[in-house]
Amino acid sequence: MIINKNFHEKSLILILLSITLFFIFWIIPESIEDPENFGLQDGLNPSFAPYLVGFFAFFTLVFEYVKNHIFNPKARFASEKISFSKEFFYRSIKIIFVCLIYSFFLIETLGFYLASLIFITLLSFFLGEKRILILFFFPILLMTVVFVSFELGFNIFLPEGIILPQLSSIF
Amino acid sequence: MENIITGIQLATTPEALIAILIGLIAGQILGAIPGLTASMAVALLVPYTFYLDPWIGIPMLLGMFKGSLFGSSITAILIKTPGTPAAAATVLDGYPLAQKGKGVKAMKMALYSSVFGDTFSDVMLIFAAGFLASIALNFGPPEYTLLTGFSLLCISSLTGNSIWKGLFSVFLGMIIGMIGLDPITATPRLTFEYLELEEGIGLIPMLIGTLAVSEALRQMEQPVKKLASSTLIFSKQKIDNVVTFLEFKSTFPTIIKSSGLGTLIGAMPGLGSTIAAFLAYGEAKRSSKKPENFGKGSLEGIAASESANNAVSGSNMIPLLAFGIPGDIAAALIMGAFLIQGITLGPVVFQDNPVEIYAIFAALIVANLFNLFLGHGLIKMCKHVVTVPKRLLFPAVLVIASAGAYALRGSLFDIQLVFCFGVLGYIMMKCDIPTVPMLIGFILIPIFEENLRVTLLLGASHDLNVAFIFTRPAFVILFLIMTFTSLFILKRRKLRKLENINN
Amino acid sequence: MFLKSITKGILMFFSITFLLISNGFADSYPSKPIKLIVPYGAGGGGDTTSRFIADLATDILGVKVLVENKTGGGGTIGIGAVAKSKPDGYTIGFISTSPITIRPHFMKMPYKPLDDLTYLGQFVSSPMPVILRSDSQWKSFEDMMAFAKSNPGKLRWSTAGQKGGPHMAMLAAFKQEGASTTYVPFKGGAKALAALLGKTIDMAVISDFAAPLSAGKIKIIAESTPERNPSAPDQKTLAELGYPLSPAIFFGIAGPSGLSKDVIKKWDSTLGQIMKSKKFIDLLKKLKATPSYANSANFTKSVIADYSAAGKVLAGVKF
Repeated sequence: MIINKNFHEKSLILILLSITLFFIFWIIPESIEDPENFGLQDGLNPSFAPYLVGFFAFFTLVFEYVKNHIFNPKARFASEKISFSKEFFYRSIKIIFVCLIYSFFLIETLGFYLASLIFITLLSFFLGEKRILILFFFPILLMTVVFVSFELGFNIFLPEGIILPQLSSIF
Repeated sequence: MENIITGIQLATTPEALIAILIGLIAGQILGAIPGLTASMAVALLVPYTFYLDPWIGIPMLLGMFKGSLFGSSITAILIKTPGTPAAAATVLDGYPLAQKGKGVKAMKMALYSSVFGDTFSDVMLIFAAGFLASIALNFGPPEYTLLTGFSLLCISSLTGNSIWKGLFSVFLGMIIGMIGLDPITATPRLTFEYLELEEGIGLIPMLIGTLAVSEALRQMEQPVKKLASSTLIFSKQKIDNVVTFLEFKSTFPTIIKSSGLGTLIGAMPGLGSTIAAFLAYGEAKRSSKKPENFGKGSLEGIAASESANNAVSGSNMIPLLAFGIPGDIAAALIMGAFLIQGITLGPVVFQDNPVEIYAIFAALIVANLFNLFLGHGLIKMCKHVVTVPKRLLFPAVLVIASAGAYALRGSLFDIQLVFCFGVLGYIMMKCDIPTVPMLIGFILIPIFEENLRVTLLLGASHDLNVAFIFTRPAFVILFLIMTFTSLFILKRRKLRKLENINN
Repeated sequence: MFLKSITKGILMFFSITFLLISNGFADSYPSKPIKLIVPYGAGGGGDTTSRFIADLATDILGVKVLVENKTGGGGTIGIGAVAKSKPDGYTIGFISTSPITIRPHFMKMPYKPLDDLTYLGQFVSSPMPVILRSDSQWKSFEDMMAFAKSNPGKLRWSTAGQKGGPHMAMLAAFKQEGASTTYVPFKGGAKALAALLGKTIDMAVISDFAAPLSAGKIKIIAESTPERNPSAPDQKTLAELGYPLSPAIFFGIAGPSGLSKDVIKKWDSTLGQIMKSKKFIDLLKKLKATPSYANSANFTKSVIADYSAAGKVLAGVKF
């Protein structure tokens, strides 16, 4: 699939613009309460700086849009095209999905070591590593190195997970 | 004089030398692991130094700092993963150079400028601590505001082809930097009552996520065939594997200037090595004869950020020695280590414990020499590590990055942040929005906002109101220096343009 | 084949982990490693002291006592984690004044200090003097107060932590005198000290005063904790000067509520032994902290007393 770069830029600005407006008119009022009286004289409100930055972002985007897409719509990237490959897109979605499962779900339940073993094995397999020996030993070697340096070397304890301690209390 | 000689003798006993070596090696390895910062490792080691003599235990800690600052630049150059935040600016030019097959050259440049920056600031610490500290003390909130505001202006245009994208990236970083407690009233901002967010977004998860994880994601989407090869190919030509004398000579002014800048910033409490590196990088680009090369593999860029961040490691002891004020966590830890040894740091230390302090000075210099030699060894070793095929390397990087991010605050939330920022950085990369301005906005905005608001607060309590800043000599001098150097650079640029046209 | 090797790997991993976890399951406490949560960052407030305590407790208890840093929310996240943990004595935490007796009165906390924690013992209290530059125009606390009263908003001052004990104590004092001042927030005592020496502020209440005091850069004019400062025994405490709040700055150890008597007893004796060890006393001397031991019962009493005393004063403060 081939996309016109002008169109790409234009839609990017519009998306960012709507995010910025959402930020200014919903996120800030929703999440910052300006205190009424803290006994400080003449300080700025906590919400001042976020609003300021938000408006700066808004004006930057509007300026860019007006300058390059209203007054001068064809000039900039008229001839440039971006190629977009569906295959890459699905691949990257898959990889991101695996990463998010690992970080939001696996570590918490299985504990860091077990989760990482599964994660590395699966991901390398997916990326084209088909040698069983390497798939088996590389993650174990890596986790041993992490274990020795973190837990034995520095007494830093990586998350245990929910399942392992429960199992160990049964035994 | 006698004290000095005894001190040097103490610092060169075999035990002391071995302790320095151990510290350096541990530091270099630790520095290379993303997330494990030197201050953290030192915190874990401080209790053990209780059992060692001060001239053995403390050089070991200092060696660790020095080693880690260099170690972190290696991973920054080779796999775009700054081991500690201080090396984030090194990524900008180091990684492109490594991609061109000149990884060894980049690492050697980093090593030389690191060691130079270290030595420079150590010399300043030994000979000019009192003077520099009294300058640094004059830097209060108004001066910090000016300094960080000016840097935000200069650096925000650092990378990328389109200005609006760079600006938007800075603003995004600023907003992310504002998550957490408000610096003045301590009311939560943008946290949605989520307690984990009150401490703010950690710099380390953000850095690792936007730089390393997003790069890993980008690399992993390649076709399977390409992933079987290793990430980097090192050029076989000799010229790509050494820093020639000419190259060193041409970057030397940058190194000197950045070391000076790093030393000054290290002497000011609360700024730190990451900021020093970015400031020096911005300044090097601003005054460079070839600013267009920055971000594409300029040796000057590496030299600037590395010499500046290492210069901080020596000079953050300046306020410690002169007034007993620790400038950052690293210095606070070192002060703790000294206290445990029964040495109260401060101006009286030269009367109370002269031998120990001179021994430590000598050890600092020795550590720099060792760092130079050990660094060469580390470069050779790391060359082999990155020959692992990509399909194994990147999953491994992701796992180690998670472990490192977890270690600092002991929070699962930070691991999740790493991946969220990884995805954000990946999307930004796809949209051609540069990520580094976002990092700079994120790093500088808390300091800028806090000091700006403290300045306004102070202004309200003065008769002159905010104009009181012009009664502060440091502010006026800083203001004049900034104006004149900017004018000078602008004028020189214009002249050069005219010359080009005339020719 | 592929799946088989994975299951094998997982099984092997399980068995290794079990070997590591099950260091032996005797009945008496403690039989496995104890986690000591420090609610501050590595190297931050009290981190060094707690690592020492952990080190010494390891020798006495015969099991490893491991420090885990859990930072956030000015100490509240770490203490919250302790409060929520299983009351088996294997998770305990390091605590200090502000998140226990001061902030709960006006901030939202993930725990109730009097209900959710078992106080195991206090080992250190730290002096927190009111200091001026040695070339300051004021000679005494009264001088300074008189200036603050006659020049509203002109006295610029700071403490180590915003909304912490010393900040509240001074605010209460100024409120009683009807003086209005400018509080300048800095992150940490070091920055407040730098601002004091750099003449950005004129008064500070901090604990890291040893080095500049011995160098003659600062002077102590009062003490914000209940006991007079050993470095300046002539200067009165805020309570002696007639002000309502002078919170003790203590460091201690606590566990979740509902700890068994065995656990409490064990820690009472362990802390008692640590307090007698020469190593620990040496360390405290060097840190300019005062060893002040209270066993579980006494510590609980003093926390309750401090909490209600602070509550009375802070009830009227508006945020």
